Amino acid sequence: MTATALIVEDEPLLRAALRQHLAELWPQLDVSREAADGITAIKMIGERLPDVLFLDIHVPGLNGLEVARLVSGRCHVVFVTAHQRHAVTAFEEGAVDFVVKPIERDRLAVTVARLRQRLTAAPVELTEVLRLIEKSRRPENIRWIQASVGAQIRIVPVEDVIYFQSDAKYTKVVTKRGELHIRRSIKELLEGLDPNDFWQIHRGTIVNAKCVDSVSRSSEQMRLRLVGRGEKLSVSEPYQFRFRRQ
Amino acid sequence: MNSSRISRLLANRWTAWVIAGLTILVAYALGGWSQWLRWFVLLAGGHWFADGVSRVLLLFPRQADLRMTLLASVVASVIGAWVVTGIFSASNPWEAMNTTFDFAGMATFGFCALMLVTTALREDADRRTTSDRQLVELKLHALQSQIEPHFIYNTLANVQQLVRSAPADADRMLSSLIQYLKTTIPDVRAGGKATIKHELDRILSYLEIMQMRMGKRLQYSLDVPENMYKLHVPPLGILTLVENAVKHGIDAKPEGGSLQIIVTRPERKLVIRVLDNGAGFGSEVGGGMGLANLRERISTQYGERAMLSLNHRKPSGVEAILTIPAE
Repeated sequence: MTATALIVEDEPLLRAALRQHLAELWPQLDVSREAADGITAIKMIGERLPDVLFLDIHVPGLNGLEVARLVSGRCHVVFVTAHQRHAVTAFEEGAVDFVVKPIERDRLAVTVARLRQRLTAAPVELTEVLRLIEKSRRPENIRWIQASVGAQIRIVPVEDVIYFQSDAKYTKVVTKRGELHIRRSIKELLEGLDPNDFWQIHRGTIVNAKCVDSVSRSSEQMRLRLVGRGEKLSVSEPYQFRFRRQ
Repeated sequence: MNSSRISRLLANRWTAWVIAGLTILVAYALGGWSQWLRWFVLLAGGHWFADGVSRVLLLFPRQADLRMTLLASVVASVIGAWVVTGIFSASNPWEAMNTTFDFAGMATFGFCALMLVTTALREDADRRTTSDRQLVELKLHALQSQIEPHFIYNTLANVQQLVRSAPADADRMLSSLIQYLKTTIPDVRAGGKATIKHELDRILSYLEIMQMRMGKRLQYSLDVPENMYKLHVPPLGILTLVENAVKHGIDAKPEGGSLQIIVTRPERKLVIRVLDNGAGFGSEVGGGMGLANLRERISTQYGERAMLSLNHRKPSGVEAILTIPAE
């Protein structure tokens, strides 16, 4: 029985390139099926599960990582990416193979050889490697916050934020020029904000360190006064260490 | 001594105070305490008054540059010296207005002018250093955000395939890439301004590359009257808007979309609109610097006269409007 492959890649020329290379390196592989976006890919996988999935990480619809999560443990996955750092993560984990664009034929030949061996075994679970790639995709700090105000989209550089405060379902973003509301939670924001510039002072509050004016304390309460603003923010017990004298 | 060393010496407040101190000391040596007090009031009072007058004068011009500040300093020094020596030597202020300049008046004028001019020069030098540093930082950011390595890798991957399947197209795509890099790299390094024509060439080479890569998923149209080609725009500014629309709007949608660039000139403004019908602004936070960087650049370059706004479009997509002075 011949093995079947599905190529998921949004750029038509790159799809053709991969198909041609594979046809030469692995003539027995059926490479007739391909998808240009994540949603089509899922549909095609649903119709018939391929043995091998060549997956571009940046595809529209669902991205490659989301597609991989859905087929984890059901078929062998090879990531195709132009980002070297995704590849390094995937490789170090060893669970999946990867190809970097532009494709080098010799490198693809190594992948093909490995895949032929792997086909005899059951496909591995990808949960762990996906988590690692996901992590490596967000090494950048948040530089701006975007929020809709009516039909307008406001973009605020993160330096202009005075504080973030959770507010029912939303997070309130207080800036020098008014307030915005975003869906991202305090916990999610903490992952992307530079901890030197933004301090968590409460379960639901992150303050811009540059905007802190002074700290006042009365019995158990600790409050922050902000530069040029009337309101005070309370600092809860676990975060008070930052303001205590050494 | 060359001129920069002289101006550095002048741009030091202490030089002026040393001159004032010496004058007062000489006055003390010649005339005792009363002379000392008289000179102190003349110099300190004159300076204080002239400083206030120069601030008032500078409220009137719409944009005060260095020449304007220096002129105001000199005029204010004349007024300051005149009023203070007058008040000091006359029994009532009205009589003071009739007093002519004597040696004390000239000395007070000289001191006030020296103080105000040195302050103006130093402030100008400080401002220049800050804006130079900002410009360098902005250029660096522009270079980092504009030419992304994976844009080049992906384009080259396409060229590689075209060499095998359609050599003529490969040639066309490589030419576009060369054109894109050739126009983009030197401009990022040079900063400053570009003409619309120049910017359009660069945008077209980018769009040609992306259209070959994305196939039918990308459509575009440009509506830019030829009589505006010579107007100036911030280099890479419109390209940033176009790249954003393609990358985050059109390419994010499985069926793709279309992009429009419309440039108009109402009155003395230049309005550049980049419209797409793509996926819209997806994420709430970002690490990319393109838009924030562009906003900072136009505000450094044009101040309040420039504006960048983004709007949601119905049923989907984003409209980016860049308004700058037409010059």
